[in-house]
Amino acid sequence: MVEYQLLRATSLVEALEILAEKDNVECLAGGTDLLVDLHKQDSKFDQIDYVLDISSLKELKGINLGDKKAVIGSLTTHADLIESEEIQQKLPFIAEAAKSIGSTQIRNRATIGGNLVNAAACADSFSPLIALEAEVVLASRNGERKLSVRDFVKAPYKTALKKDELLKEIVFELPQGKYYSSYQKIGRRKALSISRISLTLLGEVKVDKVFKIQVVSGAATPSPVPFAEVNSYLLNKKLADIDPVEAGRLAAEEMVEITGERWSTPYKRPALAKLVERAVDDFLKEAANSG
Amino acid sequence: MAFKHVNKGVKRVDAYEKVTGKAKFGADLEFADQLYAKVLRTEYPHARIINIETAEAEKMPGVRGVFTAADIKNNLFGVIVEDQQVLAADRVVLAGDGVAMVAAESEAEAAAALEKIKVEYEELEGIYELDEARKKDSLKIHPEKDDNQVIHHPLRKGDVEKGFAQADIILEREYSTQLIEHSYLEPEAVVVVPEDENHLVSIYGSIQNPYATRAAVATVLRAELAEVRVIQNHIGGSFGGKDEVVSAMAARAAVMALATKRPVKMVNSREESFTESYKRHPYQLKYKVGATKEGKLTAMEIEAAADSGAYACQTPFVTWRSVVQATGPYELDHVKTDTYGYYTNNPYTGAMRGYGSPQIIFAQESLMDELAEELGMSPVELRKKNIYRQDSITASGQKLSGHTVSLEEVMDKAMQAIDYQAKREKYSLAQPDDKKRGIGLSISFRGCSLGAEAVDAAASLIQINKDGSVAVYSGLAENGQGLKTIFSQIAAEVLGITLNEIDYMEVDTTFTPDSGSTVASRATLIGGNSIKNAAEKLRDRILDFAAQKFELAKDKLKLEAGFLYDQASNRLALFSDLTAEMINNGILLSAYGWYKGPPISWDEEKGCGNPYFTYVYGCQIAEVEVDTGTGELTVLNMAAAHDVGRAINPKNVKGQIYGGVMMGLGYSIMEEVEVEAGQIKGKNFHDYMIPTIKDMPDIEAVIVENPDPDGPFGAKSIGEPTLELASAAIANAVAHASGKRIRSLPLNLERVLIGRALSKGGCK
Ligand SMILES: Cc1cc2nc3c(=O)[nH]c(=O)nc-3n(C[C@H](O)[C@H](O)[C@H](O)COP(=O)(O)OP(=O)(O)OC[C@H]3O[C@@H](n4cnc5c(N)ncnc54)[C@H](O)[C@@H]3O)c2cc1C
Repeated sequence: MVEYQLLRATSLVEALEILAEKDNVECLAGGTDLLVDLHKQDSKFDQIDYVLDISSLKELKGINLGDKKAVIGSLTTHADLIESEEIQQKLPFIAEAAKSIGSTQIRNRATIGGNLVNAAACADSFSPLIALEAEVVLASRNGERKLSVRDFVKAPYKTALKKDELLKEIVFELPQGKYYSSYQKIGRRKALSISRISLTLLGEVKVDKVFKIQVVSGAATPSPVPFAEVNSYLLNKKLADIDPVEAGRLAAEEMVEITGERWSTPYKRPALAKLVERAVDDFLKEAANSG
Repeated sequence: MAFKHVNKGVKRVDAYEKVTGKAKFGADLEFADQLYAKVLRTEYPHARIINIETAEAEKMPGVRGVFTAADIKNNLFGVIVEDQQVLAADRVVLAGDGVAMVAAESEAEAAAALEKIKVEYEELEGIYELDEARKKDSLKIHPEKDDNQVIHHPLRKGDVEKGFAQADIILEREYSTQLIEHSYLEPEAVVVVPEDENHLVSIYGSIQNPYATRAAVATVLRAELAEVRVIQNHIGGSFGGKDEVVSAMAARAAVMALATKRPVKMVNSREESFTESYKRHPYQLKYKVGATKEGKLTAMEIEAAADSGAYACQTPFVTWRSVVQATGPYELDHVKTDTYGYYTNNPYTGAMRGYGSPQIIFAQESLMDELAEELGMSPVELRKKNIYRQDSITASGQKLSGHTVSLEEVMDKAMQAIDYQAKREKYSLAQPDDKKRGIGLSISFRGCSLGAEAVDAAASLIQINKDGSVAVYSGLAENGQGLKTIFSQIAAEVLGITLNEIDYMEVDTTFTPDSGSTVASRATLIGGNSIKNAAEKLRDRILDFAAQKFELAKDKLKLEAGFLYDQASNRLALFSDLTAEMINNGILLSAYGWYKGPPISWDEEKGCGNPYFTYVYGCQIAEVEVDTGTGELTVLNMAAAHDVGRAINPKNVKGQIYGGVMMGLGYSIMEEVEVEAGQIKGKNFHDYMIPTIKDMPDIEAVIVENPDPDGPFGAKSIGEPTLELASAAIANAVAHASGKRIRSLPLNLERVLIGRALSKGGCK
């Protein structure tokens, strides 16, 4: 039996104080990962003494997209992201990723911060944020530090979060110029479906050339990473010279290099190639449409 | 014939209780002084028990008793073959066998005590594959038996060698189907009260078949049937699944209740339910079919082997339905079919909606499409050349007469409902995109009710009170399928009263006569007839009395909407005044109804006879989109046309169709209990995929009515036929869309994209 005491923080300061003072504290945001794991009596909780409910901390809420800088509070739910008109307009791939998560009930409770800190290999928030080169702001009683989302996640279910830290918010620069995006996900059913493979493509075009590009894997690799080979194939290339099939092939190769041959590889290889091909296709079509 | 209550989509009589949350389910029950019990289940699929140490558990707080097989009077039970242990005595044969149990003041205390029981095992080699189980020299799972064969049903008609010699084309194909879970919303729950109102035990709970549970508990306690009382509660889904597993649970709770002299409650968690409940049989199927160039079938040879898991459970009858229906609804002069069941150390398998038909229909209806393609013929044309028609002779030699053989009608109506021809033509053209559409169909015939499995009879009891209100009891049980409503409609129709006057009673084995199990889509047909019989007896009695009273001929009188009318539609009396007067005159206004199905026959050696007295016919069509780039499969639309004889409640029939199609869709494209060396891998719904509302296609439900002379108001069956057809229709649609034939279920991402499964079920 996992036994713990439930604490509730009413301000960020208080929460950070508790984290600094006490050992073996696990934060509770939406609870959609934590409560499930507690119910399963997951052995990783053998050491827990406290569950700290942070769900009412105003300091961790809100979506703020400025002209250049964007801030998303860690308690922002996936439903908040979908409903935000700014997100829909400026960062549609984030809304797409959020839409693909769980079910209505889950999206109403589950937070983006919880998704990142839980850091499952199939967590759907990573690839859009890594494509944006976003950073997490980690707060403790001693101050704040920033870390790129990419460096924040160390391995499946392992992050750089220290025991006295909270994930406060996610910050990134809004992409400028003409940029296009695509979010792709394959699951075993149409809702409540864990990603088999997902990915985000975010690219900027300047005079018929790829000026900036990020193709980032979701569930295809143990931790979400940009596909370096694909990115270097696409970068600076004239749109007319891009072969989406080739991009797909490169992505699949790169995935297998990272993961090795696994039981799922015979499926994931062609499926990932196809998803990347489609994402690149979408990108090229959108770029062509907007001239 | 104009009906007042029957053939109308009246509101379910139990709807209000259920939608307002007032309905009490097994887990809601509380009794004074009640204990909670939990079972220690083994993780070994096959092991000898060397020692069970319970002393420490007995000392744990709140514990009122720790029990092992030694505490059970008669440890063996089973409906067909007594090979299932209440608690494993010296050997466990599947991972999930109970070895000990604890009754304590609280659930948590019972769970804590379980952890203190020490069991020493000697692991034994196990059998997990059918091929292994079938080998002559393989180890025997039940050493007292000759081998691992649970059952073999042969069927022989004509001479297949001769039939194949007449063929221009012979096709041989192998298919396989997977292990699946019933996925009822409510996990199993029972409460057993000891020495209750003159009974040794009273049993409440989520019980599909109260009489089967009573028999099992009486066997285990070595008690008389009358000493064991079973009262059914509302059931949160069963689908054939709350039979043996709940009987075992009730027997365990009964043993503990008698020993502690306190009520004992047991409620399974979802994980416990996955671990311990029986599931649908996986089949391996070999089909060989011969046909002429013109598309006339000449012979079929079939072998179907079912994995029974460690217990026989329902395997003998499940595989029997398979042997009867294995050819599908096609005229054939030469047939050789063998169906088998084998013991393995896998989770055991039993009854599940469909009961041996979904497996063979997946194979045989896939085969028909494959054959049509080989012959360069449309799937519809090939079928229409061979389907059963009025007076056709089946594989077992039965002449299909006395009821309407409506295969062509259900096919045509389903095709019309989904615009089959136009879509078939359109999707047969080249489709340049990755996403390709296709449409496919499947058809079936299905024997109604138990057939030659067992005596097929049911009883009911109707009591009219002085004030004209009516209590209806039946020996068959509401499982959520709508039985109470259907039986109320039939009673109201015959008695000429309103539905409001009817109080439908729960099954209580003390008052209601044993009517067998609520299985085989038999309740409306067999139970409905018995309700009608009871109501007719009472109506006659009332009309006799009224005829005397009003000095009119009995056939000039009728009861309707709570009144007595003469031929000119003059109201003569209130129903309630009549019944009050009769009761005051000392006339009995209660009656038992009884119905026994028409004669049937089966020769087990030759596999021939008239196994069922009537049949239903169905056709389902699936329209799909296959993403040939990712393996994603979307079922866009489905049409389902089913001949039900007569729909007592058309809305309810449609509900059955929608639900059955959805369950069939899950079976077709995503469900599979993954088992590795006897261990179930995913034990909750995050691992085990069932379809969500977003996976649900538009379903065109078409009710076809050809009243059956033996059905109450012509009604037959609907529950199971709805589930058996989807997998073949979807597989055929996928083949049409993508050109790829998939011969194993489920049609998951991997099979659709690369033609094979990767992990065994590929759930993760
Ligand atoms: C039915 C179901 C379906 C799901 N479907 C998906 C899906 O499709 N895609 C997907 O990616 N995920 C899915 N999930 C997983 C889960 O919903 C997400 O990971 C969710 O975003 C977690 O957020 P939460 O607020 O519920 O986290 P919680 O469960 O509250 O927390 C998760 C972990 O993060 C820590 N934590 C949370 N917030 C902070 C913070 N601000 N600072 C420090 N630590 C913190 C907690 O201590 C805990 O360890 C699903 C879950 C369920 C139950």
